[in-house]
Amino acid sequence: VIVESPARRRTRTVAAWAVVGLFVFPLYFWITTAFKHARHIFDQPPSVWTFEPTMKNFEQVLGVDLGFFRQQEVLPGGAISTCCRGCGIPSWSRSARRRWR
Amino acid sequence: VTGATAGTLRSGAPSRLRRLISADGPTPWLFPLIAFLLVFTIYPLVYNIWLSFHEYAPFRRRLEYVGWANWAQLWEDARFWGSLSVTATYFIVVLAVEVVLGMAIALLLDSDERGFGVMRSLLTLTLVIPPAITGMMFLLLEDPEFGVITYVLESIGILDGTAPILSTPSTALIGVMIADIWQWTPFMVLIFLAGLRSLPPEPYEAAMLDGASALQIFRRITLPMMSKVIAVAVLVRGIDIFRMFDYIFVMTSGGPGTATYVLPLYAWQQTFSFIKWGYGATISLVLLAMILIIANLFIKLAKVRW
Repeated sequence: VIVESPARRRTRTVAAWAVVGLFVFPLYFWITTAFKHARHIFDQPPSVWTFEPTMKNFEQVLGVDLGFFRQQEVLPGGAISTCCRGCGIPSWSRSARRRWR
Repeated sequence: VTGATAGTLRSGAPSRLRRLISADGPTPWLFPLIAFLLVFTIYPLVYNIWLSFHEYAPFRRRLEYVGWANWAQLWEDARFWGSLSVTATYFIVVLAVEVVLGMAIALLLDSDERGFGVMRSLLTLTLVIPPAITGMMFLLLEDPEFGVITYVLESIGILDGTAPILSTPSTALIGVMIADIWQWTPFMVLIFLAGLRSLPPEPYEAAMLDGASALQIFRRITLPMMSKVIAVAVLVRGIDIFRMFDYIFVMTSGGPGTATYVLPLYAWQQTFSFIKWGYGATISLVLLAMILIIANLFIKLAKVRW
């Protein structure tokens, strides 16, 4: 009902993303901790964005060797594929919904 | 011909008992639920009341009747009153912050613009994490040496590096509250958003025509119309906060000293660490009575209708 000006709408969107980011950050940190070496977990100051990822923690928990993932480069390949799909699906859906004349 | 009618035809006048157990009446259909309640709610409650008049004698390996001794001990127990005070502080602060913050975020996210749906979904992620895991997560985040929160607070000058959050009596409870607020504010946001979405647009249109400001609209229209939703959210979260155990057990175990000792933790400690089953049951009964009284008072005052 209340019509907002474009500037106010932008401010609202930025503020909303900031708040959501604040709530999602601990989760991000916790998830990335699972992929960190012990030396990165105890970094001072804490390494939030840059660290050398590892599957060792998962290998320890699951009791299996996940080495073939690294050898076959499935993990990097999977990451690249996920990124491509992440970019591709929205553009595909947009073009699918477009009205062709 | 139904069962009751058949009964009437057979005996002339249907007996009251026959009507009660007839398949047409509600009793047979209520039986599974009544049995469930008896086994899982009534029996443990009655057993707890019975236990509060007994105490376990470890050397004789049996429960012995002690009369009102546990209740008298509770009255003189300074640690019980200390735990009650911590529980009350925790309850008031966490509930107030969650309601205010939840309403603010709900108002912020109440939009149909692109991306807001994703934001709402992301916000609900916190709700699926078990509280014990959240406690561990914040234990790492608030670590005095490697924690991100400690690092940020030290960088902006709020902490000086000599007083770790969870090891200092004045800040330990705040450290636990942060974890609780982080996990359960999105729950408030969800409830408030559902309430905001169901409000009729007409009062807003009239207010806009009258030239009311956004703050006036919120105070005079949104808040009064949302009062029932807020009351239900406060009731649900209030009961939940009173029973809070996981965060404190994982993050501080009641310490430093007794700075974060809440009643559920005290009851647990008396029951399982000191093997004083009767005294633990007495503490938990007091907690239950308090929750019941406060919840019923609140329902009456806020006129909550289900």
